[in-house]
Amino acid sequence: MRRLIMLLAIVLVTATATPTMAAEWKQLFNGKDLTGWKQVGPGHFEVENGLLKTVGGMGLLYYTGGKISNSVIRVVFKVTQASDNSGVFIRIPVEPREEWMPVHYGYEAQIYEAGDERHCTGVLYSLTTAAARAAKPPGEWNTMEITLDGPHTVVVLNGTKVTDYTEGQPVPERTKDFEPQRGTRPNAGYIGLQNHPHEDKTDSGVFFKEVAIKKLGH
Amino acid sequence: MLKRWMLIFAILTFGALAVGAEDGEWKQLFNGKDLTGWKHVGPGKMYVEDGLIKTDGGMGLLYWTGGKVSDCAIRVVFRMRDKNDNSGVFIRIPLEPREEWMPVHYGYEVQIDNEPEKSKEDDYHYTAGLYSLTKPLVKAGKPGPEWNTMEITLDGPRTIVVLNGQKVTDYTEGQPVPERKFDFEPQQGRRPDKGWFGLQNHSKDDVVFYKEVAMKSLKK
Repeated sequence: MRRLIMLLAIVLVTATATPTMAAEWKQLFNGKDLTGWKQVGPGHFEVENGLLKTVGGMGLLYYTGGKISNSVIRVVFKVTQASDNSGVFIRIPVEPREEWMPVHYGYEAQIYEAGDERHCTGVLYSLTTAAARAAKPPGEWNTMEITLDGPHTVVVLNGTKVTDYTEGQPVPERTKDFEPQRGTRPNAGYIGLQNHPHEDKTDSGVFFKEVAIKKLGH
Repeated sequence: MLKRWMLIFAILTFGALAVGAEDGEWKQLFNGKDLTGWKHVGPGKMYVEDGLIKTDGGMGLLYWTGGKVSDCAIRVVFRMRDKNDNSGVFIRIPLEPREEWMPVHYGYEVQIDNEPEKSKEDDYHYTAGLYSLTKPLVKAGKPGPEWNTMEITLDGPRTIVVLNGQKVTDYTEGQPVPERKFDFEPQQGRRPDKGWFGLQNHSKDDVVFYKEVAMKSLKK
């Protein structure tokens, strides 16, 4: 009888443990090197004191682990000055070979505090309007959580929701060549980090401490 | 009773045969009148004049909106306005195009240009080759204003291009290609078995006319 109870207990514990494990954060940046990541386009990323640092650009460092959907992506970053530019690309439909397909067929969750309400940190670049300005001042760490829930994209910056967009909702007209083409994005896509220089071509000093993903619990 | 069964059997057999035959027949994708079933992206445009699709400006792409195609032959009948003009047939485009560069870097261009040396390009940029990736087995392009017939066969990962009856390209995914030399050359890497396809309008100085664009499923 005791043995049976013991067995039952083991089974129960295992069963409870499994779903917990599935919803745990998985670190995509190991803090040491760019294993699991690949650069396309101009410039590159360096690992410096355990941080990812943007150099030159415009390019993209994408995660080579395949398409991601129904997940939360957590990115912890800081900028050196408000004019520093970067972004987190999501919903890229095919594996990137260069830097422009991700712009026109994916989304960029923008990092750029000098931008207006459609081009500032936490919006889908040029497509959504910031529900709030929630970025910390230069030098302080920001936590951006991007939820990909089927066709629904939510961006929470430092605990404040900045973007809540579902595929098919109206977006403003495209006003510049370098703005993304309009149209629906896929539920599952590659993700990546942008290295983007200043307008005068000098480096943006954007640093990433953590990039992690967690599957949604449903 | 038996007669009725035989009749049903005959109808079923016939029906099955008819579908098979339809699969192997040419389907015209250009109606000779307007661009129904086609959509343009990027600079310039295409228009229909005297029953022909005519390129205007560029670089842009007129793609077929009927979806991805695979395991089929695409027949294109074209001519250049001058002795030589530049255009191309894009194939194996993995996504529905929204602009002109994704098709370059993620698909193939079956090139139309009989004088690549005039733009400082080598033989890997000749008519019916996969632009910058394959060298023509023969040079079979006819100068303007003569008509050319190009048949592109997409057989799984294998691409065959026959120009005016001569095989110019026979490339299977994974075979080696030369290094990329210019920014505007396609990124390297595997192309999908199934893809969107389209016709390129290259520049205002390059005018190419298309008389026919047709497709036929491969009989497997």
